[in-house]
Amino acid sequence: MSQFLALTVAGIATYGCVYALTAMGLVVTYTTSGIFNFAQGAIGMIGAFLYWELSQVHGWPSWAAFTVVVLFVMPLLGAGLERILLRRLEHAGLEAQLTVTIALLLLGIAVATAIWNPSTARTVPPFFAGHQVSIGGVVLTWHQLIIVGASAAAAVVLRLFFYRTRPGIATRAVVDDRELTALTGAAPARYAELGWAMGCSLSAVAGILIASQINLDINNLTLLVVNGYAAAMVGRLRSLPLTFVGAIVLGLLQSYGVGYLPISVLWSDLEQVIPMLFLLVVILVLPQSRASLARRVRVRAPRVVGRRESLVRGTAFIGIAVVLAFTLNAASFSYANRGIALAIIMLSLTLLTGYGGQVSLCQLSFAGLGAFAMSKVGGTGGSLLGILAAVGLSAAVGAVVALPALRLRGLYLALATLAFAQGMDAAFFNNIDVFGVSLSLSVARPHLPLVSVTSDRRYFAFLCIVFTAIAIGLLALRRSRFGRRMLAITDSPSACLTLGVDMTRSKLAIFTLSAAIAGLGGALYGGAQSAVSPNDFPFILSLTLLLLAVAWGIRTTTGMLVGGVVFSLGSLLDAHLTHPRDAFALLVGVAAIGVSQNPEGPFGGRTVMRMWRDRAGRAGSPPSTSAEVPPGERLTSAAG
Amino acid sequence: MTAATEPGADRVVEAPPALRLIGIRAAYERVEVLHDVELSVRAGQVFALLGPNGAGKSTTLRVVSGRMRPTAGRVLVAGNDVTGTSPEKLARQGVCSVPEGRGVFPNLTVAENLRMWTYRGGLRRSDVEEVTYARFPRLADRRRQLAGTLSGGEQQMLAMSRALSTKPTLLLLDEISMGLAPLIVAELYELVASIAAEGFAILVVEQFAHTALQVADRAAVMTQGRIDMEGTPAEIGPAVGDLYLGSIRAEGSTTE
Repeated sequence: MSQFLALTVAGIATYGCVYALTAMGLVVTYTTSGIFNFAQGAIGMIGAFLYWELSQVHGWPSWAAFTVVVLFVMPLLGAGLERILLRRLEHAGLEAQLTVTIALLLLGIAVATAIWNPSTARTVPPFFAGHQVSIGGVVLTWHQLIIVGASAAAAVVLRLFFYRTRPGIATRAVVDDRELTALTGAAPARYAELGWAMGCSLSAVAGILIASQINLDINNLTLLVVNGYAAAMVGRLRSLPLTFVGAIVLGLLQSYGVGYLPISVLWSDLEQVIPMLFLLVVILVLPQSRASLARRVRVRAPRVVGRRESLVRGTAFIGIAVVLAFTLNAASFSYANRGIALAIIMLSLTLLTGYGGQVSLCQLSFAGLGAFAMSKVGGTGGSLLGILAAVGLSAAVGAVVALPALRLRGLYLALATLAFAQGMDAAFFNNIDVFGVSLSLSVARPHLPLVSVTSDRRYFAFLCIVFTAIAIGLLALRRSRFGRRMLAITDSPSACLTLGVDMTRSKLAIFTLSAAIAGLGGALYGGAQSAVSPNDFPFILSLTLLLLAVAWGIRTTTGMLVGGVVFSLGSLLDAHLTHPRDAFALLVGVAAIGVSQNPEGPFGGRTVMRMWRDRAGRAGSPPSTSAEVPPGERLTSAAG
Repeated sequence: MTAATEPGADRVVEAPPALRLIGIRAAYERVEVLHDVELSVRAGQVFALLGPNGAGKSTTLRVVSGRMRPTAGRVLVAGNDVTGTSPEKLARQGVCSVPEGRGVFPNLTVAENLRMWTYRGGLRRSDVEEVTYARFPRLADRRRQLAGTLSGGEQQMLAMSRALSTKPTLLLLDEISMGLAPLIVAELYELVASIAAEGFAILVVEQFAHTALQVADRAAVMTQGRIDMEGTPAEIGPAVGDLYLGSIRAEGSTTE
């Protein structure tokens, strides 16, 4: 009984209330700006580190450090982010919106790593350390009381703010009808800014309060607050009271789970798995019809490359690749091969997200499954059966993951795939039964019947050919009847229903095919570095992958090629810089700004080739149409 | 009201009109939808802008309320050039715009909606509530109810309460009769007339000419982004049907 009480107290006071704080912040930013902030956890982490810096390094009194961080720095940061990055994304596609906050998440981690060396241990002392009270035989520290008090106070204050004050009412009015709000004389943009300021402030409170309960660790803090997503889903990203309840329930589940469930090998990291299962269940159980968000999206699909042009460009690329295969110096292939393999994995995003309109945050999990299958079935000889197994396994798992996708839309699907990816991390990739005690699997390069491609140079040419074949195939698919249907489903699901389009089958097919491509890419990626470890497929890298894909234009195959190579070169740069993650941070930051300014990517409107041709033939050849008519302005015109 | 109808022509010199549009052009992307629109509404006047679907009436209102920036031309409110001013600034300066079919916040209560009206500036919550509840006692009974759950007529009353309580210099009404029973429409237009009697300028956009012409002092018919004809309701009334059906006749009448 006393264990039960102790677990209950820990569930509420340590976890539940912290989740409540961050989840409420998430709800506030989402309702006011319509953008789901993936970086909520990272922002809380930054807040906690700033607090540590001020109070522990500079010796400020804790109340002063707390006040400065929570009431000044974080609100300013939130308002600034909203104004600089997010305001332009109001009508952008979901993947562009998600990508920018994903970039913020990665950027937060990178910046924090650069400033605060992660190998140094840091602790934040709890508030009023040493003071505690005993209630009914259960000991509560003052710090825990403060956590409970802060979350309850935040809930009450938010409630009063939204229902009793004029700015609060105006904030809700913006959610209701942005245009009418402006017409009454309230400035809508100011309220999104206010929402972000409050959201960042709340997540900083959560970060600071939890930092003394666990270690002050960049990844821990960032991901711990990710659990707030699950709680916010209980309130369907709208209701604050339900969000609060969801957070407490999640905290309790986690506490009881850790306390009572046997430590099994499969679920080695229960603390991580429980919130993800909770998130999955909540997303799957909650009714979807009302959760769907009718948002006006202004997407300009880029021009679809025609058959002849795609063949010409593909051949040209293979030609260049063959030349490069003979001329590049031997050291560059480790990066080049990885880059092309990543580009193949990214093609799966072009299909699923670019054409199919479904955002997946678990493509690297499929790639990992592919590498796993290649290793187990392909053996040391790299039998082609391994490739088949890689494609088959990831396609099969993809189909299973797609089942919820059939009823989930947009953000909810993205979060479900995120939960899947995180679950895979904890239960599969980091499982010694799967990856062995050394957590490493050797993956052979495929053994082709006529010509050997196992040397670095030949493997490079081989990868380029595979990439080109898939890219040409995807473009052909996009031009086909099925491709038009994919775009129609993205454009207007309800119109598709009235036309009798079988959306279930189409979505299932897209998801499965996309997973298969990712699996194939994963198997080849494994071959490129001849072994894979769980570190190759953490879910956070799936986020990076999506970020790069969107930044380089997720609807273009050229963008994926560049994105994959850039991804790979990022790690090359890192290896040569003193601060390990500086280059990465720079990359991510540039990508984020790029997406916020130009959600279609550099190859979206006009392809590189088209730009050259325009520049070269400005005098004689037919005038460039791209200046007059935006390519593929409406989806229907692209289809016709 | 009749007093305002007749002397319309000889009061021109007194003060700048509440609204004046000079050579307004506006475009969606590359498609120009307003071609050189000229319009002038004086204080105390009800100006009915009529026309068929897609004529550019609502776009004209979007330009006036600041929701859309014209590609050419100027918007003058009470003599001041306000071209390109943001809608919220215009609203605070006294341009009250009730957009088509949604003049209220459905997920806010009646009382909260009224509180939003106070953004007009210089208004207290109690003033707005007093004026509104005195005029529409039914809304007082429902002050805690979500506006989205009110009947269509009640919602339109709530929307009109903004015009009533914020004392705008210029009131823009877009298709307020949309989807409402004829009896309620008549009631609404009585309200419009009484607001005009207090000296505000009102620009009414309507597809159904008959109702609007009953309260208007002045009217214009718009087709295909141009004003085809302007005049008193008596002049406009008989021509409206033909103008709606085709602009051939309209060009004849304007070039006369």
